[in-house]
Amino acid sequence: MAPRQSSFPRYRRDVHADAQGALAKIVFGRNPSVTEVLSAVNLLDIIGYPWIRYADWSGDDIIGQYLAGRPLPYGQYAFAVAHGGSIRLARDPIGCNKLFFGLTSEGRVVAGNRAVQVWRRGVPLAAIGSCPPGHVLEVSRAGVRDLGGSDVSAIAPDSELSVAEFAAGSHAFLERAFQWLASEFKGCRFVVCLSGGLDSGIIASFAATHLSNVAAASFTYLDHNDLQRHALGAPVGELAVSEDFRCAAAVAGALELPLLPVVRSREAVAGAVQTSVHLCQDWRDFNVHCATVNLFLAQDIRAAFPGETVVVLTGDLMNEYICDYREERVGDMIYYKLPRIPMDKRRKYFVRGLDAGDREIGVFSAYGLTACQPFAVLAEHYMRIPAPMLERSDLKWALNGALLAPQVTPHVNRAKMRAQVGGKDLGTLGLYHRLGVGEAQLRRVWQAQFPTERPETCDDFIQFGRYKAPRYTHGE
Amino acid sequence: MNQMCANSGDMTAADQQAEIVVKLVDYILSQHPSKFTRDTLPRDESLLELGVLDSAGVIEFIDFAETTWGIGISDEDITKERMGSLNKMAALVQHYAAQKK
Repeated sequence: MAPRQSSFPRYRRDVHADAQGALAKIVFGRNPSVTEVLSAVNLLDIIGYPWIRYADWSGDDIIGQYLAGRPLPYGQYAFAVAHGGSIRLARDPIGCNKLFFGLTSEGRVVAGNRAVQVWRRGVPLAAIGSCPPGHVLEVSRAGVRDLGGSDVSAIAPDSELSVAEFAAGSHAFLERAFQWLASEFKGCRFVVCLSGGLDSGIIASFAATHLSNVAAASFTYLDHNDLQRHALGAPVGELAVSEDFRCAAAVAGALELPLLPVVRSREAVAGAVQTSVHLCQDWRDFNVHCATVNLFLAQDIRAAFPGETVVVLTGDLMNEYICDYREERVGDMIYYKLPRIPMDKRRKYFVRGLDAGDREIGVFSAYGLTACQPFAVLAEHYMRIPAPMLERSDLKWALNGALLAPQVTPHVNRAKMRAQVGGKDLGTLGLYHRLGVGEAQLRRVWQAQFPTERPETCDDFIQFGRYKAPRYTHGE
Repeated sequence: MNQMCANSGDMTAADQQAEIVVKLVDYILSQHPSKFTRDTLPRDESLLELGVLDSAGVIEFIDFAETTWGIGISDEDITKERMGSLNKMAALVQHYAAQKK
C-alpha cells in the first residue's frame, strides 16, 4: 500500500534539448513490427494460446530496457512476452491500449486487449485484471508480480514553466512523433478524424505537413431528406450539416486534404448503442457517446479504403491534459458531471481515468484500422503544467494555438469541446438523452456480454474510474 | 488532522479509526445529502452503490480525505477493496497517516 516513487526521469526545462530524449523514447519501440506496438489488433490474434507467444522482439527489448532502468517509452502499446514459465505484460504510460489477463481454472494465462475475449476463453470475470498503465507485470501460476512502473498522474508540475517555452516544447515533441509516424507507416493511408475543434485541427496540421496519403473524415447527422439527397450525390456543402462539420470541412479545405463525409440519420444512434458499449469496453455515458461517433467514422473509413492499411489519427487526450472538460445540461439533467476540486487535482483524475474506456483504439481496431493518438507522446510534458496556469480560461489556445497551420486557424470552432456534443440539439449526447438511454441501460448492455456472471461482478470491472487491477506483489 | 495527531499517543488504533469515520461521515452528510442520517449512514457498504455518491462525488470524497489528513493516496489503493466503504476508507487513511509520522 506504500506510495510508489515515479520512475520518470527528472524533467529539464530546456524542452528542445529534451525533445531529443523524447525521440529516443518514441523510437525505442521501432522495429519491423512496430505497428504491432501501436495497434491493438495483434494481441487479439494470439489470444487463446496456452502461453502467450509474441514474436515481436520489441516487446522483449522494451521490457529489458525498462528493467535496466530506462523509462517505458511514450506512445501507445500493450503487449505480452513469454519469459520462461511466465509472461511479462507491459502497457503504455497513460493506458491508451488496453491489456487484460487472467488464469483459467487449468492454470493457463490468457491475455488480450478485450476483456470479453479473455472471459470467453475461460477466465471468470472476477479473475480478470488489467495491467496498470505504465507498468510491467510478470504473470505465472504462482501469481502476479509488479516489476515496476510509473504513474503519470504523479509527475510534479514545473512552477517556472512559461507558456512560450512550453508551446515550443510541444511543437518539438509533435515534430518528432510525426516524423516517426511517417517513417514507420510509410506507404500507409492516413485518415485524420476532424471534429472542427482545435485538437483535431492540430493533428491535421501536422499530418498535412509530415505525412503522405492523408485524408480527413468528419461526422454529421442529417435529416432524411438530406440523407436522400446525399445518397443521390448532392454536395455536402448544400445540406444541413452540423456547425462542427462545416468547421471540419473548412479545416480540411485549408489544408487541401480530401474530406470523407460520414453521415447518419439521428435514428442510427439507437442501433449503435450495443456495439458502442461493447467496443469501448465501458458503460459510462461520456465514453459510450464518444464511441458511437467513432463507430460511425470507423465504419465509413473502412468502407472508403478497403484493403488498405489505414492509420486513423485522432486529437484525443488533450482535453484530459488541459483539463477543460465541462458539464453538459440537457433539460433537467446534468451530464458528464465534474468533481468540485482544484484543477490540478481534476487533471490528475482525468489522466488517471484514461486507463478505462476504449472509445478510440477499441472501436477503430474492430474495423481493422490502426488508431493513433499522437498526443500520447505529450503526456509527461503536459503534466508539468503548474496549477495556476491550468486555471486560465484561455490556456488551450495560449499553449496550442500556434501548433495549428496558420491557414487553419480562422476555420477552427473555438468552442468545440467533445466530439459527441455539438449544435443546439447537443449531438450524440442529445440523441441518447431523447432515446432515454442512460447509464443504467448502458450498464445492462455491458452486463449482457457476460451472461453467466453476477451483475455486481460486471459492475466491479471499473472501479473509481479505472479498470480493476489484479492483486500483485512488488519487485523482481 | 492536528487534533488527531496531538492525541494520537493516547489513542488506540480503533479510537483513531473511529475518529476518522466521524469526520468522513460529517463530510458526507454536509456535502452529499441523502436519505441517511449520522446514525443510519452505512459504515460497511459502498456509498457509490447506495447512490449517496456519484462518480464525481467519489473523487471529491477522496480529495477531502487527502486534504484533511495531508496524505496522497496512490492509484494502486484507489480500489473498492481498499476504499469501498466508510470503514475501509478510514482504515486506509489511518494507514497513510501512520506512514507520514
